[in-house]
Amino acid sequence: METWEKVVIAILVGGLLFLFIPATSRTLKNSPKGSASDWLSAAKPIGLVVVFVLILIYIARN
Amino acid sequence: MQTQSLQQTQILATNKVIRNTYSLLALTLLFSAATAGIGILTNMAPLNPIITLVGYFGLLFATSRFSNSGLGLLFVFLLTGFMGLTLGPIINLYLSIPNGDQTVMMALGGTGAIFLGLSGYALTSRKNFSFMGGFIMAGVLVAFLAGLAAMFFSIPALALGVSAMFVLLMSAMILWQTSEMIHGGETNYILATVNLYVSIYNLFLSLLHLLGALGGSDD
Repeated sequence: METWEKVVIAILVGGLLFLFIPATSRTLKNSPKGSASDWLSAAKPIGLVVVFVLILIYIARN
Repeated sequence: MQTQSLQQTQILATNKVIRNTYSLLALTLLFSAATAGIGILTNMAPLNPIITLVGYFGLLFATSRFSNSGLGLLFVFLLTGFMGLTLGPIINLYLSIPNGDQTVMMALGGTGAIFLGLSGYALTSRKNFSFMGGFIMAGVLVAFLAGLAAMFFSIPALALGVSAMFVLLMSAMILWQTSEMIHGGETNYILATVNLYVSIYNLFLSLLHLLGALGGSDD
């Protein structure tokens, strides 16, 4: 990648961050807080996804 | 009596959002598969990263801006068509590697299985995952910046870490978005479709990267 392209991308990303960071911090402040059991109920299916991806990698290696 | 009727109206509205979202998602996936196919068949060169970034975020912004009008539908198809087109050269790259076709098919099947499994879990358990919204948004921002750093400074290990992070974040996003539709947090089917589409797209790309690199066909 040329240097000028990196500069343009850096400017674009800076602009995106300028837009997204306030929205993200607002969402973080205003979104409801989950209890330990709430997080556990989300962690279970995501854990299964991790196991599934590891199986896929194992199959791809063999 | 009135409460019961109100509940029924809410259920009908929720079902309509879910039905419209999955119908539009199916159409956009077919459309982006067609544009990706064009990219593959024409041996299209990868797009300039600046055009890609401007295209993604410009169309994403336009879709969000017009999500309450008919124009929103046009922008959804423009966005998903463009994203599909940028997939063409990436898939071509993997297809040129030994066993690359298997890697692509495995990533595609894996993405489908993960999406169906997580959507099914959120739809049947009817659990509310709205608490994950802020966490996902912050995570995506961090992963996006780390991904750019990996690209700028050519750090393959960081790129792999970002892909693994995206698999987790996009899985969480599927759970969150589906739960938002069920519990009335998202009433706009265009925005719900875009969120689910972006999750599926990123999940596919991340799986492709992980399987390609760790499956032994990336170098």
